Amino acid sequence: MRPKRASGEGGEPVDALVTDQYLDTLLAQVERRAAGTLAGTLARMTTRTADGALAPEDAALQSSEGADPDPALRHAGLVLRATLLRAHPSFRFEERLAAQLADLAAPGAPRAFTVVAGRSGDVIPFPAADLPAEDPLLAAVLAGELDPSDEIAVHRADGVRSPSRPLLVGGAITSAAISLVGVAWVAWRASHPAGAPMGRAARAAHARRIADLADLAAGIPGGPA
Amino acid sequence: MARLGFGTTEPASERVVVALDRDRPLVEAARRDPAKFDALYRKYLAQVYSYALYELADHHAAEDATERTFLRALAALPRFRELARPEDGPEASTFRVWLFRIARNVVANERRSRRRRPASSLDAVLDTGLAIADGVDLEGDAVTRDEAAAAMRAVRDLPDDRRRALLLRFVDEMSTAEIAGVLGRSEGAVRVLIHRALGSVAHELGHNRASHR
Repeated sequence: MRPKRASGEGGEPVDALVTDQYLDTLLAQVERRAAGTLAGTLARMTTRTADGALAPEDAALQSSEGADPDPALRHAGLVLRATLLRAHPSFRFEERLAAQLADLAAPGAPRAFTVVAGRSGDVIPFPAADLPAEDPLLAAVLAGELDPSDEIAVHRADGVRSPSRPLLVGGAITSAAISLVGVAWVAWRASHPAGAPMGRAARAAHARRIADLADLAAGIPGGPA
Repeated sequence: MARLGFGTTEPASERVVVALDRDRPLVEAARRDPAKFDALYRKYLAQVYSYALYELADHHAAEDATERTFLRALAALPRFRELARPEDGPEASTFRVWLFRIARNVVANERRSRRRRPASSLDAVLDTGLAIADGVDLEGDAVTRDEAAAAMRAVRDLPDDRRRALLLRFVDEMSTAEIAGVLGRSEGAVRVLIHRALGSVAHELGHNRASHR
């Protein structure tokens, strides 16, 4: 029988360590060179228990130190191992990006010049050909002003460029796939504050129309009194 | 530059840098001649793309994120510092950790900007997983399609940090130490994240089995 481990906060790191060792063994056992053979390989390594769960058939899949994780966790590990497959992008994309990288790497590549907003506003060479113009952070990385692996710096730099987004109109489009007329209205409304004479006139006309409709409804037999 | 150590909490001054990074020859070659970066690109393309695909659940967004990751990595390569330690083992690659830190930041920016734009259906994550698995005959083999769907549902619903840790472990087959480096957490914290994530998936699978009885 499997020994019980302490549960709760105190026992969790131990359980997590046992799970980690099991996953090390599980992931090392199955080679993932070809996704098409993965499920078959896994099928040969596992067997179904009476309750339908997967269990490792190979003793090597047991944790190296003899401690097993919970059977439910082992089952989840096996299912995830077969489900979370690695995908490969299209050949066309791979070669296009390879060409872009070669372009960036080539010493004599044609380059344009871009001013990077920085301390001194230095002019730095920026590769022109086929590089994504919509990635302003790349220019900062090339200028040595941004470390792309620094989470905080990248977050901050991304925040700097985001206010230029058309948030209002974008939000109008999002909020329910409303018509272009609606989008135009939102844009117009944003540029005309509520206190403007035109706004007051529009609200007065709208209120009048509602009152007229209420009068009309009152005259219909069975309508509101 | 940000800390690149494998999730260690010790101060940078006490760390010993040793020559064991498995990508060191490729990195050095790329530093001498940036055209040689191609070897590193081909080696890690599918891993970065898969990570972005599972995180963004959109083929085109994943390609964009992959493109940005590698272009930024090449642009910043002169400033990459190797910080593997003996205890990280012979399979350690601080380059891979560094590359995935860049990928994580690119993906995080994309997810943030998506929150400002029309959100794609959360079910797209599930569809993405199953679309990838479509090439594999899961039915009749080890895992049924039903179980795969339940597992993907559980992965979709995980909190961000648990989902990221789980994807890096299973899709990119990273060690706990490497994931700690990518996420900027301790190894113990990453182990607990994965353990809890696996628990959530196990719970969903158990629930799914019970509902089919």
